[in-house]
Amino acid sequence: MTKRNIEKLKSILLIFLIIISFIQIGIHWNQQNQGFSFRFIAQIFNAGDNSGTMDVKSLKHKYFVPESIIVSKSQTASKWKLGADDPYFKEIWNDMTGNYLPTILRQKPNKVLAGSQWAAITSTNCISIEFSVNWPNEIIYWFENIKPGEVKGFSSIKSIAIVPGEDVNKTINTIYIYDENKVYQYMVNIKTDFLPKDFYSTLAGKLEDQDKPVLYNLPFGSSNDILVYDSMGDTGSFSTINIDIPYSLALNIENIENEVIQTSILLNQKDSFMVKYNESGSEILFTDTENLYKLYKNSTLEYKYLPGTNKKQAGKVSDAFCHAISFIELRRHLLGDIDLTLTGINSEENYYQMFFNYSYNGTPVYCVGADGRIMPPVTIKADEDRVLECKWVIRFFNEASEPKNYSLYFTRLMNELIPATYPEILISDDDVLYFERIEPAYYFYLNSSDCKATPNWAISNKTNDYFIPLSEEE
Amino acid sequence: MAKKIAFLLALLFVLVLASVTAFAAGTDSKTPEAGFTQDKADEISVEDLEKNYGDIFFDAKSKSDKVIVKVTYQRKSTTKYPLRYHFVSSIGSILSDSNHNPIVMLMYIKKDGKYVPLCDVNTGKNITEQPYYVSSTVDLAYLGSNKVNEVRILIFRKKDIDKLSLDENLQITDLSISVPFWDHGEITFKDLTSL
Repeated sequence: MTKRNIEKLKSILLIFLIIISFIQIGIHWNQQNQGFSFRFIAQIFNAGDNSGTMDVKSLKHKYFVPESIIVSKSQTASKWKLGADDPYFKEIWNDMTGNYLPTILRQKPNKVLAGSQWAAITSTNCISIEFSVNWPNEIIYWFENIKPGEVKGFSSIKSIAIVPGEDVNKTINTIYIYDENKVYQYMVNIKTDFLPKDFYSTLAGKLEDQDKPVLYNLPFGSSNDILVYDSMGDTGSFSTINIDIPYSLALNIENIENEVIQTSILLNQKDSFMVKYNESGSEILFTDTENLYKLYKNSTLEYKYLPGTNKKQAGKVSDAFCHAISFIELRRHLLGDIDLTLTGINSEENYYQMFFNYSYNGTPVYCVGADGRIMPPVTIKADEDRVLECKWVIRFFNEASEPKNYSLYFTRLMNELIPATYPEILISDDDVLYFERIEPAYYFYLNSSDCKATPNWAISNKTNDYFIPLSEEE
Repeated sequence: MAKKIAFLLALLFVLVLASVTAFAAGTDSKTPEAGFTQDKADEISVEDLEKNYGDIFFDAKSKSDKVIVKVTYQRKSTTKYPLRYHFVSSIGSILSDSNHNPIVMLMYIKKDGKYVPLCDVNTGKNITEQPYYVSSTVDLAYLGSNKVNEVRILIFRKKDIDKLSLDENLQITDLSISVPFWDHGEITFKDLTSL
């Protein structure tokens, strides 16, 4: 009996040791993955922890959004641009992500064409979905929960074109995917939960009936297609926005003493970090054995993973992207009412470098650096295991006043606003004007503290960026 | 008496000073400071131009190598006005515009063998004048792939108005534009690749 009890005790002890060993591993991994090694344990211990895994579906909706949807009627005709707040934009994008993309990602393309054909495809009767970044397909698979092995086709998505007139069959729609290298054609069977094909083929007519203003191609040299409104009454509605240094990141004695800054940046790990700050209050530094966070007076946060990466390859881009957006989303409360859009992914030898921009109701909010040029407010280096470095100009955004109408008439910009403000924009040595950007945007300076931002024309050529206030319409 | 003369001289001096326009302060008013009469004097009479230069403007053989601006055009996506086109004439650089000399664009279309004014749908005039970038939206005359709209665009600098001459200061751009019906003329990618 005693022997049996001892055996029972031994078994219990063994089970206890096994559990303890799991916890031990979890603690050991804590520095790397910000959590326990098994999620069921993490759920028990971290019920209220905001550093847990992110909801992939909500991330997909936040980050995987087109920059614009362009509706064109014919080869040489003007076009319509649908912004993110347009109901047709939402319908088309929901149909694409809910129906077409999952189908396309699992089927072989019907044709593969040279990239040079893309201009001809999009200048026909089509709906073109444009992204601000060339999305690697591995991230798209992650969004759509598809295993990469299931798919054979494009390597990334820069643009998608829906060409309803391509096939006369009412139950087949033609989709083209452009990855900046080749064009992939897909003939997709329209199922019951898809939007009817007529929706796409009659969209231009509907936009015309609604008197939506049209856009024309810029008649100058440009690195990409720049579309402009060029009718006298063309206006846009824009709010004035406040762009402030978040109160909880202001480098003052009160925030330092109350540990407000630590809580905002380090979240639930604040107790394990050492704090250093200089007497002038120009920067504060938090560090442990592996992580270094530095916050400057202009509310720029720098993060560095001190051991660096010892990997030879960057690994999966989807994992790196997931770490990057987790880093941002865990601190999103600092930003207020603003969206972040991915504007670039560079693949380096053993990490990925990602760039994000701010966007308010679909209008870009540019950060202007000390050199006077537009810079990405968020730059993150990450590999498949973790974020390695981050530089983030943090601002709190909110609406300052109700939207007002502003003129978007391009002729006025060219003949009145530019000559009166920056006539050098219209000077070209070789008699060919060249632009990289002409669009309405907000902006703030890297070293500015609090400001009220009104909409401006953001104009970029090869060497400079200019901002000219939009003219308010009565 | 001396006081009166001094007062009158001072008054005269003040009046003379006040009448010097160079001392006038700038205003934010959108009304040009040049004044109404000046504006009237600057307004170009299309009738006078046609009377003086008609033989150049409307001669089918008139050709010009002079390029003052680049002319581009795009069809407006509208089934209500299927003939609507947007024309743009724009300089390449203001370096070529050292005297702030505005660009004047006159538009004509050939109907029954004769050039007739092609008027902007907003202003009702066939003349447009702008410093650097001239745009005009017009309705062409003939619809259908088998018909050709012969558009003549005349471009010159405003200061050259009294001495217009081919190949020197007058640009003539002739365009032949066929406007397909929207219903039948929509070009698809399939059409383009099978051409």
